[in-house]
Amino acid sequence: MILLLGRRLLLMVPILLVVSFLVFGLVVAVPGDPAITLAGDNATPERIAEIRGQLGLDDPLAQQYGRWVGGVVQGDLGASLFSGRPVATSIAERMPVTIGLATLSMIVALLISIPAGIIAATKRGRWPDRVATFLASAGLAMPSFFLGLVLVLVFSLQLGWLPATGYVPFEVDPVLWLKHMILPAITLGAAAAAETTRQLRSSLSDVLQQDYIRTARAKGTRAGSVIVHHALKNAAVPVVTVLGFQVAFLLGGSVIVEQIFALPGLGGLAIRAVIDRDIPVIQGVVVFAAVLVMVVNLAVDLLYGWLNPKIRTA
Amino acid sequence: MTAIAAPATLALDVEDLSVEFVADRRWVRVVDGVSFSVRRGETLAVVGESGSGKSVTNLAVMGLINAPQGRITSGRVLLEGTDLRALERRALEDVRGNRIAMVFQEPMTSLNPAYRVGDQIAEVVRRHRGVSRSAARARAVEALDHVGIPQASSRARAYPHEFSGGMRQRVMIAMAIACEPAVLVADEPTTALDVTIQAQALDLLRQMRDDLGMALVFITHDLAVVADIADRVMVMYGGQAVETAEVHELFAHPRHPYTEGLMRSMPQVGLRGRRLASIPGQPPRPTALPPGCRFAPRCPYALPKCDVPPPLVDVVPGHATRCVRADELVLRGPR
Ligand SMILES: Nc1ncnc2c1ncn2[C@@H]1O[C@H](COP(=O)(O)OP(=O)(O)OP(=O)(O)O)[C@@H](O)[C@H]1O
Ligand SMILES: [Mg+2]
Repeated sequence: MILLLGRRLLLMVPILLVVSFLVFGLVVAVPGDPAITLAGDNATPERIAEIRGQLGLDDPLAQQYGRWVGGVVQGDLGASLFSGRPVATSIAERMPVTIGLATLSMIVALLISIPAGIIAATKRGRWPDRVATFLASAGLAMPSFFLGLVLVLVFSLQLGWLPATGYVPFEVDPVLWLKHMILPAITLGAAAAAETTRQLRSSLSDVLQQDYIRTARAKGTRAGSVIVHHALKNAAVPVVTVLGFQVAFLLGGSVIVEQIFALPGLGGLAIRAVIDRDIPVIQGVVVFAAVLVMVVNLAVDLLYGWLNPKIRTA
Repeated sequence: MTAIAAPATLALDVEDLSVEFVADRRWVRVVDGVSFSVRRGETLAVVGESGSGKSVTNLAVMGLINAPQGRITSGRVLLEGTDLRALERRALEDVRGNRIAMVFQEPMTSLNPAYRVGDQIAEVVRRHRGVSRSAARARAVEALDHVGIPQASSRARAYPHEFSGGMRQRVMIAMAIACEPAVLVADEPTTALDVTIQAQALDLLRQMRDDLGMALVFITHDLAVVADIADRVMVMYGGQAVETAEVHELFAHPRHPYTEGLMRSMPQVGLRGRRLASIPGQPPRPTALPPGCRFAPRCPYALPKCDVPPPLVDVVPGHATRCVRADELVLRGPR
């Protein structure tokens, strides 16, 4: 297990390097000169040159890259070209919103997909399976902005049960936080729920055909325990394998969902930064997202090792 | 003579068991009116070619035929006097693994890859004995030790993939005997193993039967193994029992041409290199059974009167055959 962890951590180094190249490449690839933007209208060429000097934009690329990576490693992501605020501070402020949303979406997805997948797999071909499969296809086909609007229409405007927009930090009022987050989380989690249901259905019906399930039944194990204890752990292996991708998708989707529900998360920060060509902020958000996805994948790998003893003891 | 066995002495008494599966969108009978019984301490061998219904018969006894693809259409399964088919699902679960247990044909895939073998054995003990976790663990180690797994207490913490096929079969046997059942069904427990291991597994089963006084139902298609382990034999063909007899009687005086065919295709010690007279042709598929005697198309003695389905009748007490020519034919045992 320790060995597995070490191997995975080592594997992260080259990936991080590639990410850093790509992110730094933004500076070169994005058209326009941030110094010109920053200098504002009617700036003299001297003023622009001065700003370029301040930003170090005239140094060789390798030197700029080294400086940037050096900062990132120490947690210094630079400062916004416009507000001058440290990027790390902006991210730290907005991170709880996005991570909270992604976590809650994942929980929603699992709460829906585990029972739905079990029902679909055990009643394969019968009506509960058909209903679950239909809903899963619908969940996958439905764009999140559409689902979000429908939910707002029904639960906020019609029924008035939940607020349509806005945010209350968890530490201020957990109940209000949940009230504000539940619709966004369902909106964001629906696709993940649908995808996970589909995968769980197929892997669980596969596992239920296995000889060791027959052994469990022959032992007199209770029918429910056969599924929960003997089948689910094995069926989870392929599902967990793609959980890492799901998290990446959730992070991507959160950009849209945060806009719909006016949540002050990283999505809004990223969109603002892209519109403004605020390159340090864009870089910071991308690096942060990349590290987050990698950490999640690491956790997934460890979970995978726990589920699958062959990997652990190999 | 009408031998009336006191029901209490029979550990397992199966009567007129029939099983059907869905094939080509209709129900096809795969096991057809099979009856047999075993006493404690006794071994019944169930013999027949691949596809003759040996496994399905015993899965049906265990209540392991799954809807919607399969169903039991008739029969009574008395385990120590209790009709298993009349039991509620939960009551049947209380019996399985406890009073009757089964060792499956596929040792490599019958253990759950996600759990330690000791825990898998402890599970059945906890389920039926309701003992503490640690007592169940101790019982698991004891069972592993009983089936001859060296360093049982440390091996109990290993996962199935860390065991060879022969050792996995021992684990399966340990799991099956952990609650000391009255009946153990062993479905070709040696077929998947290599020859030296086969003999060990056979010895082990015999020893377990004697140690625990179990009734053993031993499924095989190998008559040499039958001679070695069985007290009585049921020969199956095309989903039916075609001959049942005490083992010495069967080998000395086979009364069904199919049994003779099986015996004549047995490999002989000291006759290596000689071609085996295997039965020509293929066993029938359940979807395309001959209208009369199911063996007739392959039978060297078949006559027109074999076009009528023959009943299973006693030729001598305790020796039954499903052949209308049983009285006229003189069949030979192994050469
Ligand atoms: N789940 C199933 N669905 C449909 N048909 C089945 C199923 N299980 C078994 N059968 C059919 O039932 C018949 C008897 O099979 P069974 O497994 O009992 O044979 P067997 O005597 O155990 O053979 P072997 O020596 O190969 O194990 C075969 O024709 C098989 O195709
Ligand atoms: Mg079989």
